[in-house]
Amino acid sequence: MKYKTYNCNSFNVHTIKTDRFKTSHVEVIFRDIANKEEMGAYSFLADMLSQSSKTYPRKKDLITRFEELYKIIVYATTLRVGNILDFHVSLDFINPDYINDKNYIEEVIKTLFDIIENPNVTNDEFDLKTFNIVKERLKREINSLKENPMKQSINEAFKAMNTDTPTSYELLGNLESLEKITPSSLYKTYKNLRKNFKVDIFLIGNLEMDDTVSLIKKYFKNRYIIENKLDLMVDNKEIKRLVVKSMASDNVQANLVMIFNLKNLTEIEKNITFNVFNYLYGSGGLTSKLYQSIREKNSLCYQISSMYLKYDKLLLVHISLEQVNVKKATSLVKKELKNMQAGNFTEDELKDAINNMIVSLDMAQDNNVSLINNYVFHVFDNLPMPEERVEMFKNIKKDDVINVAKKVKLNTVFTLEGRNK
Amino acid sequence: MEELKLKGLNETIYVYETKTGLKIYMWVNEKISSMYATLSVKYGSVHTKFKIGKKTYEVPNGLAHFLEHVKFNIDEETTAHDKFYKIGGDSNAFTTFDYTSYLVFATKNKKENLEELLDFVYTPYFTKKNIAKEKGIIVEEANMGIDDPYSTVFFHTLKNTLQKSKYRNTITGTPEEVESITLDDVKLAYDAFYHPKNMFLTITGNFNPYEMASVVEENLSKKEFKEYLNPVVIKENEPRKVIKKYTEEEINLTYPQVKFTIKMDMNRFKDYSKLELKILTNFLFNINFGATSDFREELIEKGIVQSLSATNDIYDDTFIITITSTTNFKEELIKRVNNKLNNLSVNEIDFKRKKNAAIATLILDYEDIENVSYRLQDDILNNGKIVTNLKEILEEETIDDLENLIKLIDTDNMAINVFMPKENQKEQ
Repeated sequence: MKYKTYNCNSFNVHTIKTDRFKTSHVEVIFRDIANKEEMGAYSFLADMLSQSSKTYPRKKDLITRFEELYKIIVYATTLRVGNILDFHVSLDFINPDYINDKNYIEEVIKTLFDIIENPNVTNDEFDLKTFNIVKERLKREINSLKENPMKQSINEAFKAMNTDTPTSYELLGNLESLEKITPSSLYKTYKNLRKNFKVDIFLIGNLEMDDTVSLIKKYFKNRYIIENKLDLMVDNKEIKRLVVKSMASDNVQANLVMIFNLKNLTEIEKNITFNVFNYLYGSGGLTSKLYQSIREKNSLCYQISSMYLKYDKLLLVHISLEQVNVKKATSLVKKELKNMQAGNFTEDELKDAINNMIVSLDMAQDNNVSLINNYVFHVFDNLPMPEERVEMFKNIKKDDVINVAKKVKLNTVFTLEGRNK
Repeated sequence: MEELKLKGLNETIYVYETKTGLKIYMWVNEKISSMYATLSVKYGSVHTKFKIGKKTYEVPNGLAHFLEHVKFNIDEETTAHDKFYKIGGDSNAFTTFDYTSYLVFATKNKKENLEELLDFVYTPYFTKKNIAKEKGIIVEEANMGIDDPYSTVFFHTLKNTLQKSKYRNTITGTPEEVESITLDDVKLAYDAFYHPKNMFLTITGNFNPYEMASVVEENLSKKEFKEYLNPVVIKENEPRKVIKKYTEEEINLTYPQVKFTIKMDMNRFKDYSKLELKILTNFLFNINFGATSDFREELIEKGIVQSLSATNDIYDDTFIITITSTTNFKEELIKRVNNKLNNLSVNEIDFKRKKNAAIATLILDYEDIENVSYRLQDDILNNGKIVTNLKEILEEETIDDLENLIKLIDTDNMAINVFMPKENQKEQ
């Protein structure tokens, strides 16, 4: 694998050349500070760009073009990473070696940047027909949140946490902000994306990288040089008094969410040690402490999610279970944390957890999107490359894990109640 | 060892049959580091009535899935997960209507992981205690399904379309069915179905196929297998007609969803292989109802639907084509879909483009160890063999084949399943 970065004045192209895959993958990433009021507008814009362009004005035309290019996949999405709003335009395409057309790669790159450069806009307004289709779809997506009890309970838990940090921002916005978006305001959002967002492009595949980057430069006319230094970490402050809230629902199961603050993690704790703690505590599957206690010993649930929200400095535990068992599960989650803080895990368990995490890192090397993601966070957040992380994992000691366990403090307990009471 | 060359794809599938009757299907990719192994038994959620010799057995719905869960117990204290954890294997399992699969991913200790997979699946340890413990967990899994409206839409649609088939039931079983499962049920199903002759192993990724075949052969040679009981699954004769032509029910959805299910007897398509039928139907309904169709585009532009898609499935001797849509205008949608179904059409340009896209997808599947494994499983279960000429089959389909298929589609026998939001779930 060969890594190379091309400085193209107003943007950088970061390439990974490898013959490991038959697919090539491109991520065009626009980044800026996340703004609560504008989150929904950028999600709307991402959907609009995925829907049509000036050259391909209907979704049907766009998909037909993708199929002509041997089913390339192009889509735009938004993502909040800590304080930052990432606006991604992604492309997957078959390696040109398999296609008997010497212009294939140029046609693919041209189509990608046609979507970015030529939005379906007339007189500074997005096409009304497409606008209305997207607006209705987003309205439905916002309203349908309650169809997914896990998502709904996590969203409500963040609200209960009562923080005004980006952690509580809703990616799609809300119905009120959606109503304020117009074809003309959306075009202003587009212009803002092009003018004020920093751009980086990541590319992986078995391609002639110099030639491919020349094609990107040919079709991507990015005019503005943005030099913002973007700080990813959200400062979710520790609170003095535990928040305990609940909300009624029509679901059969209750959904329990517990949110913990993480105090003053060092760089190595943030990138390495806390992952080891969480693997032992809850994210490491059926062998983890939470699974052993809550599922295997007490049969209270099927699934437990223990999510380390690194850039929000939070740990979140989610469990779907019978309402009558919520209290018991809450105390078991707390008990297992105390056990971790007291060092009630063996050296062997630690060694096995680290070995399994290294296996996961190895497996990620076999997936082009995982490889790109590793590289993205290496560039944006100095995350050590996987080979370095493997060595760092090997050096983690039991005391290191106990120390990070002691930095975990419960902030909020939220229950979306089940009707089986 | 047999080496099957996949025509036009430059790929090889290695096939080996062990002395116990277990067949191994392998695909090698030396550019990656992972290995993925799945040990599958041709026993799924629909196999609830079977005959061994002259005796007929009937077991509760959800048993295959229940057995999958408790199979992981090795003794009172240990599960297979603990063992895999020690050797760096990432293990799991799943149950479908038709089969159950135990799987492991590994980047090192590959032989040990493969042996552990064989050891735990072929060493039964079932006790009343672990059966009782697992019930609580699986009831919660079943309850998660009840809270998922899309799972409800899927299973209720099958219930409205099929009259007697076992495909009407959920894979987990209902909480009550789960509670009714006994230790004897679990032992009966294991003894009947979990025999190498009724199972197959797939291994995909970076490994030496000759070495792995010999590891499996040696491992199995140390195990004792009773004679295969050769259970004969008793299928219900599914009547031709759908249960109800129109149903409407309220569930925990926010927006109405409509599913049209066209039910046909497989005899109708006796000149087609299952594979060819599925490929041609995919093309036909993709061209008429998919993202590049004028029909779908018009419905979306006019706000009649927000989404529209089509799929097709074979359930024993029944072929079902399903069209799924979200809409606020069900009467208008029903009228237009009926009209479109009576006027299915194809053209050479669309067909050629779709064919090229399907061939590209086929080529790309052979870079992913899970996709290849899934293709192998699908071939063994649904086509009875590894299909070595799929690219050729795709290339040789013609527009005449599609036009002939249109003549065989019988839209008279269709169920329209409307799912409306409950009053408290509706859009505010």
